[in-house]
Order: sequence, then C-alpha cells, then structure tokens
Amino acid sequence: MTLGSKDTRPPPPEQRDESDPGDAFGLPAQGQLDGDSFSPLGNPGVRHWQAGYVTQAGLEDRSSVFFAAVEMTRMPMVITDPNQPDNPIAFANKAFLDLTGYEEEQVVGRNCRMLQGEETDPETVAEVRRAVQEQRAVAVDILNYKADGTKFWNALFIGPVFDEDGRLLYFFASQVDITRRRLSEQSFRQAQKMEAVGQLTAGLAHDFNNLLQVVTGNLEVAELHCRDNPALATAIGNAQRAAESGARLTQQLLTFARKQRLDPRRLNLNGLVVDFSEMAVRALGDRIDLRLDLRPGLPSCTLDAAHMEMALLNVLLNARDAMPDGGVITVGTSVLDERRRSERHHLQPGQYVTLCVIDEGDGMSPDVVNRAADPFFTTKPLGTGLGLAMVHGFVQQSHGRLEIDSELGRGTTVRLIFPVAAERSVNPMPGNLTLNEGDDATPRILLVEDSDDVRQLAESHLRSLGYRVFSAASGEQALRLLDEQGAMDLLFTDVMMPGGINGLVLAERMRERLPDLPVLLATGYTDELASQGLNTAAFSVIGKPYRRAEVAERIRALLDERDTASRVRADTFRHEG
Amino acid sequence: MRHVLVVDDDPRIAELFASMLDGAGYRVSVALSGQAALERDAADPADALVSDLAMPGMNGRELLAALRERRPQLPALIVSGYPGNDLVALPRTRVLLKPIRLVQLVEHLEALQREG
Repeated sequence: MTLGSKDTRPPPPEQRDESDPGDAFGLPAQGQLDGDSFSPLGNPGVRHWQAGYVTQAGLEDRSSVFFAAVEMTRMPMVITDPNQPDNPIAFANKAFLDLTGYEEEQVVGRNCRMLQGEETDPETVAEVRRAVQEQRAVAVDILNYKADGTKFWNALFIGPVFDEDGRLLYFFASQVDITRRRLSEQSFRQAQKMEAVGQLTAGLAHDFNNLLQVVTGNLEVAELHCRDNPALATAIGNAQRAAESGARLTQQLLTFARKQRLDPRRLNLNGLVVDFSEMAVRALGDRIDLRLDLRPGLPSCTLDAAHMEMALLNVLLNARDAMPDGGVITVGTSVLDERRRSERHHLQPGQYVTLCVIDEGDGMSPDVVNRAADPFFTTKPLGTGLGLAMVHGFVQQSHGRLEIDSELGRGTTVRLIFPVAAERSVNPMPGNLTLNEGDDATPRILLVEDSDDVRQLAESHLRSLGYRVFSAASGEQALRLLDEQGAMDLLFTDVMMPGGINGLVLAERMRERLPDLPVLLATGYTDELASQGLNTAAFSVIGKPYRRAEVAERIRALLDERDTASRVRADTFRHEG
Repeated sequence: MRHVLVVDDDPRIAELFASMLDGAGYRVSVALSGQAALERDAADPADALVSDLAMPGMNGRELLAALRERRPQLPALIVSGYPGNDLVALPRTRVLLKPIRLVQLVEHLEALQREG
C-alpha cells in the first residue's frame, strides 16, 4: 500500500482525461492503497484519486455545489495545511464534527494527532507520518478518540493535494467509523482461535490418555509381582501417583475442549451462589471481603451444578490472586440486556443471565485479556494456565459466553453468561433452521459447523451479505435439512466434526444428490487432511481462521463459477439441440 | 458372560486389557480394528465387548452398532481417550475415560452382567 519512497513521488499526470485545462486533476488509486485496511467502497478503490492537482489554491471559494456536497456528505473529511507549522487542520466538514463530537473552533488550527490516545498503535501513526513526509497517499485503520474520550476505529485515508507544478499545498483526509465491524471481526477471530485450540487440545488429551493407560496398566501389572519387594512397591506407587496427576491434567484439557461429560439440570444461580459462598469465603481467606449482589427473581438456567461451582471457584481464586493485599470481591447476578446480547456476544435470540465476579485488583493489559482463556497461558508463577481455559470450555459447552473486562490498575470483571432455561423441556440445541427473508433468487447457503459460536458468527456474517442461510451443527443435521428444505446453492462446511459424517463425507453425499453443488470446506489443519488421506481436490478449501472478507470473496467466486458453468451448458445444449 | 472381545488399535492397550481379563478367568478374543473385530465375532461370537472409540477405519461407535445389529442385547464397555458423551445414554453400555485401573474392567463387566 505504499507508493514508492521519497524520491519517487509521482509526478503530475500528463493526461487530464477529457477535462478542461483549468480543472483540477488527479492520479487514480488503481487499487493500490487499501492493503489490509478497510475500504468504504466494498472493493479496492481504482478510479478515486490518491493525489490531487489543483489550479486554484485556497479554501475561500465556498460558492459552488461542490462545497455544499462536502458539507452534506456523511463521509467525514478534513483538509490540513502542511505549509504551516505542525500541519494543522485548515478545514473540517460537518460530518467530521458529527463523528468526533468536536466543535469547528476546537479542531481548526490543531494537528490531527488530537484524535490519538493511549491505545493508538504507534506503528500505525508512524506509517501515516511516513506517508505525510513522503507526500503520498495512505490508507490505514487506526484507533482514534472522540471529544468525549470514546474510542473508535477509524478507516483513515490521506492523500496529498499539489499545485499544477507539483508543489505540496494540502493534505486531504477522510474518515469512516468502522468500530462495529472491527469488534465483530475480532470476536469472530477469537472464536475461531478458541475452536482451533480446542480441537488441538482434545486430540492431545486423547493421545495422552492412551499413553497414560499403557503406563498405569503396566504399573498395575508390575504391582502384582512385587509383593515381597517394598522398595519396588514404593517406586511403583510414586509412578502411579504421577500418572494420576497426568490423568487429572488431561481431564482439565478435555473440559477446555468442551468434551466434558456434563449433567445439566435446572438451577437458579442465586441459590447456587448463596450455597457456595460459605465454601468460597473459606477458600478466599480472611483478607478478602466477599460481597453478593444478587438480582431478586433471577430466571433459572440449565447447568451442571458441580462444574458451575468449579468455574465460579476458578474465577474467584483468580480475583483473590489479583489482590495480594486483600480487598473486596463482588459476585453479582443480573439479566443480560437485549442489545448487548446481539451486538457484543452474537448469541442466539432468547433471554440470558449473567454471573459476574468483580475484583479491585491490578487488572490486565488488553494483550493479557485476549489470551486469558488460552490453555497454558498464565501470569502466575505456579499457575497451570488451565483455570480460565476450563471456565471457557464449560461456559461454551453450556451454550453461554465468557467475557472478561479489565483495565490495568482498575480491576477485572469476569462475566459468565448463560441462557435462561426453557419453561418446558425443549431441546436446548441451537435452531436447526434459520430463515432469512429474501426472494427465491437469493442464493441459499447450507452452513455446517459444530462450534456454536463460530457457527452463529458465520451465520450472521453470511446473512449480512444477503444470503439465505440454513445452518446445522453436524453432518447428520445437515442432511436432514437438505431433505426438509430442498436444493441449496452452496455448502460451506467445517471438515473436522464429531459424529460419523465429517465435512468431506457430507460434501460427497450432497454431491450425489446435487452434482454441481459448489462446496467450500473450512479446516484448521490442512496437514491433517493430507495425513488422513482425505481427498479434497474436488472441493474448494479455506484455512481457519479465515477472514470474513475472504469467505465473502470465495463464496461469491464459487457461485459465479457455477452460474457461468450452467450458462455454458445451457448454451451448448441449445446449440446441439 | 465368559467370552469377551477386546478391541483397541493400540496393541499395548489391547494386550493389557486382554491379560487382565484372562487372569480374571474370561476367555478373551483380541482385535486391533473394528473390521477385524467384526470378522472375529462372526467366526466366534463374544458375550461382551470391550472397545476403544477412536480407531482408523471403523470406529468403536460403528463397531458397536454393527455388532448390535446381530445381537441387540450385547453388553459393551467403551474405554476411550475421549469421554464419548453421546454413548452414555445407550442401554447395556458403560463408557469409561482412559486411563482406567485394570481391575475396573472386571468390576464393570460384572456390573453389566448383573444388570441382565
């Protein structure tokens, strides 16, 4: 996305299209700028200018429709003056004021760095600065701050404006608030990461359990033969205890990987917290003041009580360890706000309750928060790194969400979010069928993914792209859906799924019925496919974690390809007939 | 329930389980894959199955289903490195997570027998 160094600043373009000699003219972007940053155009910018050349300098002429357009557009824009000290803002349009919440007199005369703050990435700032120094265009996604201190992700575009002789006059900059998109992308990637790590962990635990079986079994056999040898018996006993610790560890790994055997029953979290608090007080020690803030009349959930208590204890112990000198820990319950549910958590519609644990400890940096639930990630000298990983696994397996809010020096709030129990005993599995409004021409995509959160996110993404989405949590469910719903336009499936029908088998079975069905396979381990001798040659494969834009592109390409193929066939048919 | 079919793709584990059951007085057949187990059972039907879950080719789940097509009442002890949650609800089936103590094999087989 860079356009050459200082010495190769683009000269004024020779050709001015068919425009009049007096018109401003520019250098088309040719799709070079966007890189990894967001493009408000939905595709790479080609014809918009990345550098402008004006025949008339100055900002005084505000008489024409072009000025009205600049003040009317909802795209925030500023113009800075690099010929003044510190390149201050010379003009900001009304949309910019709307976006940032500043008044005009607060911005004009100041450098754009007023929008930056503590968490703005210095690398990104440096990238912008280099472009400005080299008098060339740049497009970046940068974390900025509004007048009231709110953070927002800004898709920033900057380009230079020269006079006819190539002397720098201004910089033009446009901004787009892409915060929602950014957060959604982040949680999507996080969910995929946890899913991939979970699969890896489950495989690891499985292999270790088999090895431990060989070890403990042989120790048992050896034990039978050492009745008269106490030294040997002691040695065998030690080895057995170590193997038992190993088995506990693999149990924890399986909890993280959501393979725990749960016994969910209807329970009220308020009751559970009250019953458990006596035990918690003992575990936390006398330097911790445990307070309860329970919402009266909290709806019930369907949860495994023993695992729920373990999860709560894990979070409480973390809170205690964050306050070595003691302090207050609050355990609270509440009903999840509906807007928060859909915006932040991408949870299925329905009522949810939150159990939160709030401490007043040291807090965590954003980097630590992002990795806090990763298995084996720990900041404690003697930690196993499995505590929050297990909590995460349990919450996910219970169709909920784990959420951690923390700031250095300000303490941590951990929220465990669970669906409210259905009034009657209804299967709590996710809905098999998700219909989207749309006419018959809307492409129908069958989405198959066993991880609830990844599936829900993919579903909402595909729907936002305008597809009709039918989603299934397993190969078996997908085949049933095909029976019920009829032909699909595309199958998008995970490869590794529990149960008898993995993604490849599913794809093959569906092709038996719909021979031309485009198939997109998602997999975290391309090596795994090869090692299992699975033949993916007939299908399009996308690596996990995938970017949403990538999925959109691949699906569009596959659908286009199919359309072209069917047109060609139709033509051939006509010609022959 | 004198004849037990032991199936595990790890020969070390199959051998351990077999020698334990042999010592406890059972007649034991061993197979290292689901397919081999089916063939073995066709030639010499067993009274109970002790099987792993994750095996290349035919897995333990499929093996169990195939055997129960012939004998729906066949008692089964599934011993796997995965918890095998979905099998817990099946009748005459017990699911254990590896590693188990070898004596547990006998205890569970006896319990399955008592259940009828």
